[in-house]
Amino acid sequence: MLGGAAPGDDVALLAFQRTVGAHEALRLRVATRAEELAAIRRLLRTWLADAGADRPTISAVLLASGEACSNAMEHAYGPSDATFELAATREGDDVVVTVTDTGRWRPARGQNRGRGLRLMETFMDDVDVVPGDAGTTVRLRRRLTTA
Amino acid sequence: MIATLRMETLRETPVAWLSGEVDASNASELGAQIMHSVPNTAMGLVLDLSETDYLDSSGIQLLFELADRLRRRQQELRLVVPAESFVGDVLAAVNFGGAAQTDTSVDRALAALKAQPPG
Repeated sequence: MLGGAAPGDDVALLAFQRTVGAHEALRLRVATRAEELAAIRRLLRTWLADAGADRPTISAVLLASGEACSNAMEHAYGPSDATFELAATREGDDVVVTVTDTGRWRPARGQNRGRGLRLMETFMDDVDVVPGDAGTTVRLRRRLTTA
Repeated sequence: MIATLRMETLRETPVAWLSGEVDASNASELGAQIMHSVPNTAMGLVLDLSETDYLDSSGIQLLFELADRLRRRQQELRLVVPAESFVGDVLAAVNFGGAAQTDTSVDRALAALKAQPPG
């Protein structure tokens, strides 16, 4: 399934490790196709629910993570075969989501991307964008409140 | 399909119900479908987001463009958004209030459109 034009969103989640325990990390490697966003949300929602997160936490983390993933998709060099990585972990009372791509961070072009960053900052407690030579990492942190 | 769009004409006004999730994979297509369904003769469009579970910056872009295109045709966009909803929080975060008015029910949105003809 690597490199193919697989139509199903689940198919293109290239790597997926998840265990039921709330403290286990969720790690995904995802193809840079917008159709994958919904699959990422499903997996992240399940992971957050397993961790006991309430609805506001789940909605906020899904949105901010989705914006970071959309950025990573836009940074991709290749049209279809690039991937990026998402990791969700618990750090104390917080949930931390990191999205790492292999492209260069581009300053917000136009209002749409600017809004994406604003949404991340509104819905998370802390947002770090770390540009590097090999790629860009967006690190999102939010207190995990429970239902 | 992560989103479903239903269109109907109520009191001579097109009403769209958008349920499910809106992201970069479907926002453009949904926007085109919605815009296509608004006749030039209508006062405006009521877009009900009560059943919209997820809306990201692509969806917000769709809404801004919809509001803008309607405005240029002397038509008004009115959104239906429940109080204290996730979509309401998202719209507030990007100050969408300046682009379109929001109501809490389709009935109220229709009444407001009739009461305040644009132009």
